[in-house]
Amino acid sequence: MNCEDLHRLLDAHADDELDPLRSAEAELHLQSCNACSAAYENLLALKRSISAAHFPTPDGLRESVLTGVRRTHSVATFTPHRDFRPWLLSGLAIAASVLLGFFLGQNLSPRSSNQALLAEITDSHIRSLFGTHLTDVVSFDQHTVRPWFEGKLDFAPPVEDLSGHEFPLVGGRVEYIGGRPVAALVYQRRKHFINLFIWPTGGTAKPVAAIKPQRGYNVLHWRMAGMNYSAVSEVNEDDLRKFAAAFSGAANPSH
Amino acid sequence: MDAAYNLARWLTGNEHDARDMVQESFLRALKFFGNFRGGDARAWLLTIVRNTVYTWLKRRQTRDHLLQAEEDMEKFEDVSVNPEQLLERSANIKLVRDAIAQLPAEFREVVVLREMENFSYKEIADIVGVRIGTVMSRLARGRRQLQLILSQSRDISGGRAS
Repeated sequence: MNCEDLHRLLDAHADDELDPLRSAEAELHLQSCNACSAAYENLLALKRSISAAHFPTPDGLRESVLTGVRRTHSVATFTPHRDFRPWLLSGLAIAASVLLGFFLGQNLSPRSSNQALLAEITDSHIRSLFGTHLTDVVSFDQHTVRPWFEGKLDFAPPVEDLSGHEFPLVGGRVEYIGGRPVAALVYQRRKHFINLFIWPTGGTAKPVAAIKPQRGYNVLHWRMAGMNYSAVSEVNEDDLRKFAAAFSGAANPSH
Repeated sequence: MDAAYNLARWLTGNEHDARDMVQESFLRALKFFGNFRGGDARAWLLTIVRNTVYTWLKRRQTRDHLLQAEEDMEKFEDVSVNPEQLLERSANIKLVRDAIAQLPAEFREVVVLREMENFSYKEIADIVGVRIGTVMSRLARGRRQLQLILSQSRDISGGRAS
């Protein structure tokens, strides 16, 4: 492969869109040619800076979309329409809620910074299971775990005993995730563990939503009373949702 | 949702219209959910966002704006770029955003879908409704043009406040 060939394929190579053979040829040429490898580095730098120019979703948009959809949905879907049969209506209603749940629940997935955060959370969960570092404080008693966090965190995470819901508290630890200290509470479900990561947020409350499983682990995310919650576990999604509901209920009895 | 807003924001050029477009797109998505043939739902939604924005833009008669640039491009191809300047300017997010905003829409959308939303060439081709080869060439030319704009943009310390 000469410089001219490479020049044509440089973008596709940087985008990981070349077949393995041509990709290897491109790599070989890059190693031997300073001019091309400088151009390639420039391209990679450009790619990085473009990706950083992503616009964050403004506050309140999610809510106003939901409100708009609910309004239209209740008018359009439940107004009898001669082309629609009742079963189709209920089908549409279900489809609508599935779709909405899907997109609104995706807050965490598309953006790369959130991807990175999610990866860190999953890593932390996996490390906690395979290493010796599941908990820094071992206790089944919320009144031991809660004060243990004091002085280690700049916020006070709610710590709840959920043994009544068959999710006994095992302990807690402090993790450093996304550039800040995060509380990790460890709960047990039969032989499995659930890591619940908690850190403060200025954002508005969000209902519990499932995120695409990360390397086989189920992840739920929600926001409540100024805190972000991410629950990660190998327990199935139904059980994890029960856990999230039990925790939210105990931490926020008014809801 | 974030991808929908980001694309709408880049195609409309401002937050207010982007919000409206996202609202509108979600309503359309619900209406046409029956047409969804499976596959990547995110790509499907972005196709709707894109169509919604372009329909709206057309209505505002800014269509000419979208379809220029092909000829202007040729003269940019061989301009050499000072790599150090380029690196320095790429680090400034405002300069980068200004540069992307200057791209013709057909280049801007493929750049946004590729670099910010990580879609493959094939997925972008489906969303935009062109062949993969066209995606590749628009992407490459869009990037060359960005490098050029960034290398030519005035020194920010002496220019406008950043």
